[in-house]
Amino acid sequence: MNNNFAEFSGVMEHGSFSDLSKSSFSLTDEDHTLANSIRFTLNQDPRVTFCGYSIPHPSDNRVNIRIQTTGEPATDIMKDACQDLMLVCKHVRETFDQAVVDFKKSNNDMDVN
Amino acid sequence: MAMTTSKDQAQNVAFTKQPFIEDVGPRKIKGMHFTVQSAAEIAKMAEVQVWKGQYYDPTRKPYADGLLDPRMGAANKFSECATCHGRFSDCPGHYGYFKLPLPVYNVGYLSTILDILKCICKTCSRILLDDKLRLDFLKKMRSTKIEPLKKTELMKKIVKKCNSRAAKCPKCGSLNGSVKKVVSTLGLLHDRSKLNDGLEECRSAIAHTKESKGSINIQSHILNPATVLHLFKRMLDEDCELLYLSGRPENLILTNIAVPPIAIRPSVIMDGSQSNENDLTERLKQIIQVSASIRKETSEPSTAARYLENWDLLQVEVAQYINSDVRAGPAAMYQPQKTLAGLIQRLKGKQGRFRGNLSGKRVEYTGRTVISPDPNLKITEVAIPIRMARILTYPERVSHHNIEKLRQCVSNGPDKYPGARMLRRADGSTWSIKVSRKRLADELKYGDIVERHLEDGDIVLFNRQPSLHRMSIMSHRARIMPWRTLRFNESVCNPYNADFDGDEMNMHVPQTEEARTEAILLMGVQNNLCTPKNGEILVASTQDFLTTSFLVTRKDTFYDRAAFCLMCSYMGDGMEHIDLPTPAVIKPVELWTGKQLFSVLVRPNANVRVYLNLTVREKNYTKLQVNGREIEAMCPSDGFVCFYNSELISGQLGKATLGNGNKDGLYSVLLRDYKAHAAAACMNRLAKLSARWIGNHGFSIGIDDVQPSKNLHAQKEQIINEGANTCDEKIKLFNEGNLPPEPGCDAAQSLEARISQILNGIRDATGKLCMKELHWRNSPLIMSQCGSKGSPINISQMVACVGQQSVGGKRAPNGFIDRSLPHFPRKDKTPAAKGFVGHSFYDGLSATEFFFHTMGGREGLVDTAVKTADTGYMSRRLIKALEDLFIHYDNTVRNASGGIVQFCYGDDGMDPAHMEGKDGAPLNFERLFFKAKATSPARGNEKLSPEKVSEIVETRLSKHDLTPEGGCSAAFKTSLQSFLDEYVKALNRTQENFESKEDHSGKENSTTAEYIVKHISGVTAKQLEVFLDTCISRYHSKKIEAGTAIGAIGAQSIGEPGTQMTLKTFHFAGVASMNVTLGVPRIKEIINGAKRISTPIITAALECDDNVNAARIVRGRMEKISLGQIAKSIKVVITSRSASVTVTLDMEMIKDAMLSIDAYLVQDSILRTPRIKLKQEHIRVPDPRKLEITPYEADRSKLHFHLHHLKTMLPNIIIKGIKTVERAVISKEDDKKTQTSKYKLLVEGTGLLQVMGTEGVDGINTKSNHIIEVQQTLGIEAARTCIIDEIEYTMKSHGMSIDTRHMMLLADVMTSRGEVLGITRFGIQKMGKSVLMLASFEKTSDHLFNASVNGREDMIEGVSECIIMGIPMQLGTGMIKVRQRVEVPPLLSYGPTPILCESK
Repeated sequence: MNNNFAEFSGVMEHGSFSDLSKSSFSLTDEDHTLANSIRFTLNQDPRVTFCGYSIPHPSDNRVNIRIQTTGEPATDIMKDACQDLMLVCKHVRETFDQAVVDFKKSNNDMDVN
Repeated sequence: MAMTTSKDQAQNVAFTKQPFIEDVGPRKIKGMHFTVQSAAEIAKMAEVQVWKGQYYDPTRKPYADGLLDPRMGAANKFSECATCHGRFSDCPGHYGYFKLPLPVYNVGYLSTILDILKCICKTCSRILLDDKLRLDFLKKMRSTKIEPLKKTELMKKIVKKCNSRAAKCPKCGSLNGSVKKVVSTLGLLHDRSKLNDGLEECRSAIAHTKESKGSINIQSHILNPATVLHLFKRMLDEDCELLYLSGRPENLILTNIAVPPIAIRPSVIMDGSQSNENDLTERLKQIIQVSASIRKETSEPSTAARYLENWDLLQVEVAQYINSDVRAGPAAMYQPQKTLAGLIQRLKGKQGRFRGNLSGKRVEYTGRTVISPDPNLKITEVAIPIRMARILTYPERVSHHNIEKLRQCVSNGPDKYPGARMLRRADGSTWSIKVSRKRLADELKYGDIVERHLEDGDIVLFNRQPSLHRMSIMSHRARIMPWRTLRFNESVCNPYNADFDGDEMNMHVPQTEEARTEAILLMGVQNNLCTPKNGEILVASTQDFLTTSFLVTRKDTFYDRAAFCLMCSYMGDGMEHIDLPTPAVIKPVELWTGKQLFSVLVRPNANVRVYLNLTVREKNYTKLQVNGREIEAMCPSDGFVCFYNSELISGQLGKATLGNGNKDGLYSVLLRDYKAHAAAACMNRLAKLSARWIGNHGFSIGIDDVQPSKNLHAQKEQIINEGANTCDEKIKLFNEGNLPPEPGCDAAQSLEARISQILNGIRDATGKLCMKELHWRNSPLIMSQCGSKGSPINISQMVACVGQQSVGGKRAPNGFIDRSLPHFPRKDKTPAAKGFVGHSFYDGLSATEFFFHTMGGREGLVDTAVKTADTGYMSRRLIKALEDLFIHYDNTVRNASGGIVQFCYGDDGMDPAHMEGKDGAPLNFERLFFKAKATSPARGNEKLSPEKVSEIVETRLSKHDLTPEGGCSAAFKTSLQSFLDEYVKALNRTQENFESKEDHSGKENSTTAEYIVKHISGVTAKQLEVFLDTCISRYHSKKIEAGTAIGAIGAQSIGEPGTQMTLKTFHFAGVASMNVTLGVPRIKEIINGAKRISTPIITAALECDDNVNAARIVRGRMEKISLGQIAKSIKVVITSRSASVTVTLDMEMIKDAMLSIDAYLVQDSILRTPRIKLKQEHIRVPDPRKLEITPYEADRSKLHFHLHHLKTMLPNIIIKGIKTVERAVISKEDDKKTQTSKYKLLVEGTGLLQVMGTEGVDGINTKSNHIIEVQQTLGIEAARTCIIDEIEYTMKSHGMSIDTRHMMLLADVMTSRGEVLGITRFGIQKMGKSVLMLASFEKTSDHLFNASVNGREDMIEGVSECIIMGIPMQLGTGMIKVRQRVEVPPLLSYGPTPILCESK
C-alpha cells in the first residue's frame, strides 16, 4: 500500500480541522471485506476509543469508517490500522504459503497441484 | 389589449414556467351569469345558418351550410377556419344555428314551463292571482334581502297557490284547469275535465254526432309548443318576475337551435372515404332531416295527423339532442342501435365534463410504479428509478452556480443520466436536445432554461390512492437509484396506508420554484408527521423497527466496545460524532446495555441539545403492588418506559413508545419539544440501525414457533372442555326452561348471549395462555409483545384454538332446517354445531370447522367491499359540504360567500393537529412539569413551599397573555390553574403524611423531614417559572393559523376513519338485549340527518336513580301495554237476553309489574281509542277487574260479527304508555367507588317529548340519539350537541379518536341554517352553495337549467368554482393579497348644504 494515505484510491476523509482525533473515512468501491477487517485491527489499537463502519446504502459502492481516538490524529491511526491489516494479511499469506511448501515437501511423492 | 401586453412580456423575459402573476387586468373572471338565450341571440351569435342535412360533397369537402361548414371552425390540423382564418390550434370555433320549422319545448325547461303554465291563465296569459296577493308576493320577490334559495321557495309557494283547481282568472274571468305532463310523449296537457263551465253546452252539441272518440279531447287539450309560445309571449314582465324568471319565458321554447362549433364535435376521418361523426353532429343531422320533412309537408297540403306526428318526432329528436335519456314517443320506432349521447350526457356523471375534466385534470410530469421499502432512506426521501428520472424533467435556469452541471447535462442528452431533454433559450426559442448536443452545451448562457433530468434533492409529490386525507399526498426529496421501483422508508407507510404487496404509487414533479417551495413547506413529510385528525403522530416506526427496539432494549442485552461502537456507527452511517456513554459494566470488561444504545440514538453527542423526558406504559406493563401501594416505575416485565434527559432509564421499548397513535410516545414528544427535525432524525437513525441490526441478528418464523408444547396443549384442551361443559349446562337449563332470562331478553336470546360470552371467554383465555406458555424467544410472541405485528388472539389461533366464528355478529346461522349444517342433529346448540372452532391452524380444521371458518371469512370480504363504496361516497359528500370553510383573520370560520359558521373555531381557536393532551386538550401538563423539573435541575436551589407556589402561580396567571384579550381561552386558564392547585394539594398531602409519621418518631428531625418532602415533590422557583412559561408560550403557538382549510381537513378527518371501521355493526348499549347501530351505517344516518333511524334510543335519567323499583314503576308508565297483555281472558258471552264481550284483568300480573291499572282505567282508554265507536253506556264495569262490553250494533243479524270484531280489536287497545315506545329496559350502572348502583332507562323508540314528560323521569338529563327528533323537541342547539355526541360516541366505540373540533364544525354546518341539513344532495343544496359547485356535485343538469331560468349569478368564490374556472382559490396561501393603503376619502355629512357659511 502506498505510504501516502490520501492517495489511496477513493477515500474521502470527513473530519474537523480543530479536532483531528475524530474522523470518518468514506471509501468508494469497498465493502464489508475491507471495512470489517480494518475494524478488527482498529479494535486492537488501545488508542482507539470508538470505531465502527457502515454502508450507507447497499446500492452505493461506498463504506464509511468512523474513528474516534484518545487524542492522536485519526488519520494516523487509520494508516496504522491498514498497515497492521496488511501485516496480518502478509502473515497469513506467508504462513499459508509456508504451509503449502511444507506440505509439498513432506508429501513429495504425491502430486499436488 | 391585455392579451397583447402579456404576450409582449413573455417575449421579453422567458420564465421557467409562466410564473403565477395575479391577473388584475380586465380578463379576470369575477363572476358568471346564467341566462337563457333567446332565438334572436342564438341567430346573432352564429356565423352560419345551417340547413343542409349532409356532411360532405362528392369531392370530400364539407358542404357549405352543412353541419361541418368550415365557417364553424377548423376541422383538423390541415384545414383553416373560414371565419377567422385561424389554424386548428388557434381557432376556438364559431357557432352556427338552425331554424326549426315549428317551435318545440326544451326538455331541460319542461318542468319550468309546466310551472309557468300552472300559474298563468290559459286565455289571457296573466297570473292567476288576485291583485292584492300578487302585489304582496311581488314585493317579497323584489326584496333585496331575499336570497336565491328563498326565492325558489317563494316561487314554489306561488305555483301551489295558483294551481288550486278550477281557478278563475281574475283578469278575464275564464276558467282554468290543471296542467299536467303527458305521460307517454313530451307534451303538456290542459285538463279541464273537472271544470263545469260552458262545456255542457259543447257536450250536448256533439252528443248527437255519436262520435265518442273526442270525449277527452273536448275537456282537455294538449298544449302544443306553438300555443304555449303564444301564451308566453303575451306574459307581462311583472308576472315573469313573480315566477322568478330572469328572462322572457318564450326563450324556454326552442325556435332556433345553436349548432356548436366543430371543435367540440370533431369529425374523425377514417381511412379512405369513411368518416366518423360525433354524436351531436349525427343528432343534428336527424333534426335537420325531420325538419325538412315537416317543411315539405307544410308547404304542400297534407293531413294534419301526419304533420303532427312529424312535429312530435322533431320534439323527441330535439329533446334527445339535449338529453338522450328522454324516453318519449312511440318507443319502438326510434331506437337506434346505440343511443347518441346528448349534451347533458357530456356534462354529467363521474366521467362527464364537470367531474372528469373541470374538477380534475390530467397532468404531465408524473410517474407511477410499484413501491418497495428501503430503510436506508430518510423518511423525507423517495428513491426514484433512473429510467423514471430520465423521463421526468425539471426546468432549471442556468446561472453562475450551476452552469457546469447543466452543461454536462446538455451534453449527456436525453438518454444518458444525468442529462437534459430540452433547452429553452432566453429569447424564447426551444431546442430539443437530441442532436448537436455538444454545440448546445457550449453555447449555454446564463438565463437559459434547461429541462434537465431529475436529480438527487429535487422535490417531488408522492401519492397513493385512495387519497383519503391530506397525508395521502406528501412532498419528498428525490434520490435517484438503480432498479425499477419507487422506494421509501417504511416509517412513512402509515400516512399513505401503503404496504409492499404490489401497491403502486404516483409521483408528480412540481415545475416552478414557487410550487416547490410551497410543496416542501406545506406538504413535506417533516411538516406532516402528525395528523390533524387528533394530533397523534402518524409517521412513526413500524414492524421490524419495533421488533429491533424491543430486542435491543431487553434487560439482558450487553455489548462490548466493538459491538456497541459498530451499532452506534450504524445509525448515523458512521458520519456522526458519537459520545460514548459510561459503560454500564466496567469490570471485567466494559459492557454497555442495549438501553444505552437508545440513549445514544436519541442524543448521539453533547452538541445535540435534545433532552427527552417522558414516561410511557408499554403494552406489557403490569402493576406492581408492594404493601398495597402501587409502584409505578418498577414494572416486573420492564414495561415502564422512562427517558430522563435523553437517557433511557427503564423499559423495553415497543409500539406504545415508538409507534404511531400515542400522543405521549417518543416521537410525539420529540416533535412537540424539539420540532419535527429532531423526531425525523431519530426515526432515520432507528431505521438504519434496525435494518442492519436485525439483518445480523436474524428474525424469522418457522413451524416450530406455532407448535404447542404438551403442557400448552393440555391446558388448552382443559379450557375448551370447561367452556363446552358450561355451555352444555346452560343448554340443559334452557331445555328444561329454567334459564333465568337476562333483562329484556327471552330465553333463547339469553341462552345465545350466555353461550357467546362463554365462547369469547375461551378465545381470550387461550390467547392469554399462549402469551404465558410460549417460550420467550418465540418470534410471533415477540412481535405481539412489542406491537409490531399480530395480537395474542392471532397467536392463539395459530397455536391453540381458532375460536368462535361469527356471521352478522351472531353464531353461525341455520342454513338448513333447525341446524347450521347437516352434520349435526336438529336444534343442536352446542358450540361445535354453531361455528366454534376448537382446533388451531397448526392442528388443522375439521370439515365443519372449515366450513364455518369460510362463512366468517366471506362476511369479512363482503363487508369490506360494501364499505369501501359507502365510505367513499360519504367522504365525497362531506368534502363537498365542507370544502369552502376556512379560518379567516378574525378567527371566524366562514363559508365561500362569507357567511359565518363558527365565531371561533372549535370554541377555542386551537389547531387540532397540535393538540398534545388527551381529548383535544392543548397541553399535557404532567409531562411538561416532569420535563421542566428534569431540564432545569434544582442544583441546591431552595425548593418552594406550597404557599409560595400558589403565590407565584397567582401572579403569573394574572398577566396579560392569560386573559381573553391576550388570546387565551378561559378553559385553558382553568385547566392550568386546576393542575397547579392539584399539585399544591399533593405537596401539602406529602407534608402531612410525613408530619403524622414524624409524631411517632419524635420531633428532633423536622428539618430533615421537610427537606425530604421537598425533594420528593418540591419545585424550585426556576422550575416553576420554566414550566409556566413553556405552557403559556406553547399554548399561544398552538393557535390555528388564518387561512387553514379547516373544512376540508374536518371532512377528511371524519371520512377517513370510516374506511377503517371494522364490521362491528352492532353493539350493546349497556344491556345485552339492546342493540345500537354503529359503524358506517350509523355515521351515515347521522350525517344524512335521517328522519327514520334504525335504532332510536332514548336514554332517560330517573329522578330517583338508586332504586330498582322506582325504575320499574317509571318503566311501567312508559312501555305501552295493550289490553291483551294484562287481560286474563277476553271472552264472548252470549246469553239468551244479551250478548257481550267480557274482559277479565290479570290483577296479579298487574301488581307484579307495579302497574296501577284497573277496569275503570281500561274503560277510559277504550273510550279514548279512535274509531272504536263505543260509548260510555256500552261499557259496564261490574268490579275493578272486569269489564263488560255490549255491542252498539242494533242489527241482530250483524251482532255475531260485531262481537268477534270487538274480540279481535280489544287486545290491541293500548291502555297505558307511549305509543311510539317499543320497549324500555332498565340499565344498571355500578359505581365501584361508592359501591352503589345507579339505574336509568333505555327506551327503544321515539317520542322524546312524552318520555321527558313522564312522571319520574329527569327530563333535563334525558337524551336521545335521534337527531331530527331532538331538533323538533329541544331545538337546533340541542340537535347540534346531539350530532357531536353521537359521532363521537360512534367513533369511540370503534376505538377511534377524532378531535371534537371537527365534529363541532360538521355539526355547525349541518345546523347553522336553523334546521338540520343532512350532508346529502338535498341538504347541500340548501347550504347556499354556488351553482357550479352544485353542478359539480350531483344532478348537474338540473342545477344548470334552474340557474339559467332564475338568472343566477356565480361569484366564483368557493373551492370547486375556482378549480372549475382555473382561478387560484381564496384560501390557504391564496388568501393573501397585497393591499395598498388608500387615503380615506373625506367623510361627507348628510343633510342639506348650508346656505350660508357657518361660523365654527
